[in-house]
Amino acid sequence: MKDSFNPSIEPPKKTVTLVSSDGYDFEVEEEVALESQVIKDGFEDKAVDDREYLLFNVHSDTLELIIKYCEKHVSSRKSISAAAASSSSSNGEEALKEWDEHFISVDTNTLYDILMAADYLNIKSLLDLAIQKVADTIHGRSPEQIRKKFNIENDSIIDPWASE
Amino acid sequence: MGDRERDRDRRRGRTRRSRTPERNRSRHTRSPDRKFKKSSKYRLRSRSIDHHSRRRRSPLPRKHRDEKEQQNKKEVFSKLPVDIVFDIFARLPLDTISECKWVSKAWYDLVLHPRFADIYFARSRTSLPCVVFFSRYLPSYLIDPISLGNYETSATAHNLKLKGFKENFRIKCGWVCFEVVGTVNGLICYCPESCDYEPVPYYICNPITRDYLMPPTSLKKDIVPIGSGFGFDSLNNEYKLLRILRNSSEDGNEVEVFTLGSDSWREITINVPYIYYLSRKFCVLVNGCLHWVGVANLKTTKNVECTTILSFNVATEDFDLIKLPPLRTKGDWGTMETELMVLGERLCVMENSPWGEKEIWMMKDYGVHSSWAKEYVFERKFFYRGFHSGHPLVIELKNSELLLLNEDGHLGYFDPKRRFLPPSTLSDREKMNQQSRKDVSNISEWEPLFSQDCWLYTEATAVEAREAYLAIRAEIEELEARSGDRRGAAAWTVIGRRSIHSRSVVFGSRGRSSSW
Repeated sequence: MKDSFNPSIEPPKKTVTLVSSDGYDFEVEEEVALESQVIKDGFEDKAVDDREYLLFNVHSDTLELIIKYCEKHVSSRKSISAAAASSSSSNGEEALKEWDEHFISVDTNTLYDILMAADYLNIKSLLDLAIQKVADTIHGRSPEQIRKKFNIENDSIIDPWASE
Repeated sequence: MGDRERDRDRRRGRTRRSRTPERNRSRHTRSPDRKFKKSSKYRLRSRSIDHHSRRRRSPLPRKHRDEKEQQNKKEVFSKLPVDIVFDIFARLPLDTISECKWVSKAWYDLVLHPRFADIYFARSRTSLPCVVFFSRYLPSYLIDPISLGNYETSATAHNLKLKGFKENFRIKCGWVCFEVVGTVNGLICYCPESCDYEPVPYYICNPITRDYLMPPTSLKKDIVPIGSGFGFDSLNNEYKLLRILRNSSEDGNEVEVFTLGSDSWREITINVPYIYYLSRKFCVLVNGCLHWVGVANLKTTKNVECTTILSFNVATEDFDLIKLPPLRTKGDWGTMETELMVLGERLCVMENSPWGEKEIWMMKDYGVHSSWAKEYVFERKFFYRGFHSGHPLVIELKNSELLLLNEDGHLGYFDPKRRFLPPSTLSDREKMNQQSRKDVSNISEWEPLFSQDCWLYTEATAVEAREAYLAIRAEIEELEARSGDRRGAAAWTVIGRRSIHSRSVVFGSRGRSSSW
């Protein structure tokens, strides 16, 4: 009915349902879900009409972030290639980098959740981003600061030269 | 669930499932709201995720969520898969990794894990993992394979900081200089320059872990070696240390080998050539063989002294000679100034003559004399021209750019495609200043002390260096005022005392080695 109301509207995009560990459905566009190598692999194996993925290891809070990330990357990839096709100069990649930077600036626990989810779903670029973020967090901190930041118990390992 | 509630949920980008047991639910036992969800438009959802996510009601009872958070907080890091932790560590520069070791026992084990070393060096930008420029009068540079990636913007060269290692030496022998024997697989082998015919101990150290290992002293420890070598035998996975002693008899030289993991040195007696002189202690490892430039003869050839490349196969322990390329300088003393280096895993020779341009010859096919070819020609000013001992002069990075010591003893950077040194090259001093602003504890700083010949060199922050410098100045002035001696003797006394007692302050002299 809606289609007949506005004939210029695009045909509805194919969607995939992702189910989080706590039982929420997320309906996302197929190409967004295919950012995950795991879903991509599963997609090729599965029957065409089965578009539901149970992600037992990913909480809805995290899944929401992950979908946000994938959507952004799919859309900005499109706009970058469109800009390249029309040979107009664009700073799309820089803008995306900035967006990534902002996206990954989260607290340690959320970062951990993203890291685990990206690993589980095998989203290379996000995993890379999260790992780099952890590395940047560690960089330039003393062992004591690192322990505090990541809540690591001090099991009294001693740097023999630190006391000099 | 009422229609209004369902509608709200849908706008938030998610559909609430009926709380049937989720884990074992197959796709056939679908919740009744699925039909409803299918008809919704995704575009709307996408936006709603962005805007309403924060107000979403938590699906789990509060108690459970608290437990989850608590659990997360406790062991965020220890639950990460090992591969991810390795990946994280592999992105850190050497000095940070060596600090990280002391966070916990688990981290200690991870940093020292042999697989981590492989992962780390797979990411590095240099073909040689840890390479060292080492000179008597300059700080030694440990080229950090990871942070070299940001060469233009950030500090790349760390002054080698091996606390215990240096400490031991200073107490034992007073002031000693170290020579690099060789760098293999990230390990660096040093021997201190022996001035007073004391036995020469070797140190093999791992700059990542800052661990070092001292091989046992040989029975022939009183004989000063004319050359040393440190190599790796990839067939048997063994590291070998080599000492070439002066030939005391007509039967050729005495050569001793120490295999890491064994408990003593053993002598090689078969096919040892006559080695009269080796130009540098530094050796290069190519094709499983160690190489030196020197005057040597195989026993089978006529007894004619000429400068050649001496090679030693680490696996088979055979010596051989390789003829030098046709260099401009003829005669033994000219060619003695030849430097060996490895570029692109090929043996290279650089003529270090005091005039003209510098030429680098490369042996394209190992062992084939006709394959020597002139690969690079540098202007003189790109090269460090002072006296140096035992360091590779040029290092090739994985992207085939070259790193070298320029005429001031600073790190230079050479792009073979553009064939010139970018003027943006920062001197190491500028980099150190950048580091000190970040308040990194191991920055190094040179400060002029009381004459141009002597520089104070510290492993402290710029502020600490300044304080140490002022304290020493005050002490010197006081001593001079008391003794009336203004010729510098007081200064040497103070510095000598300081260099033993002060942990962070190490002194070096520039240009006047006799002062020490």
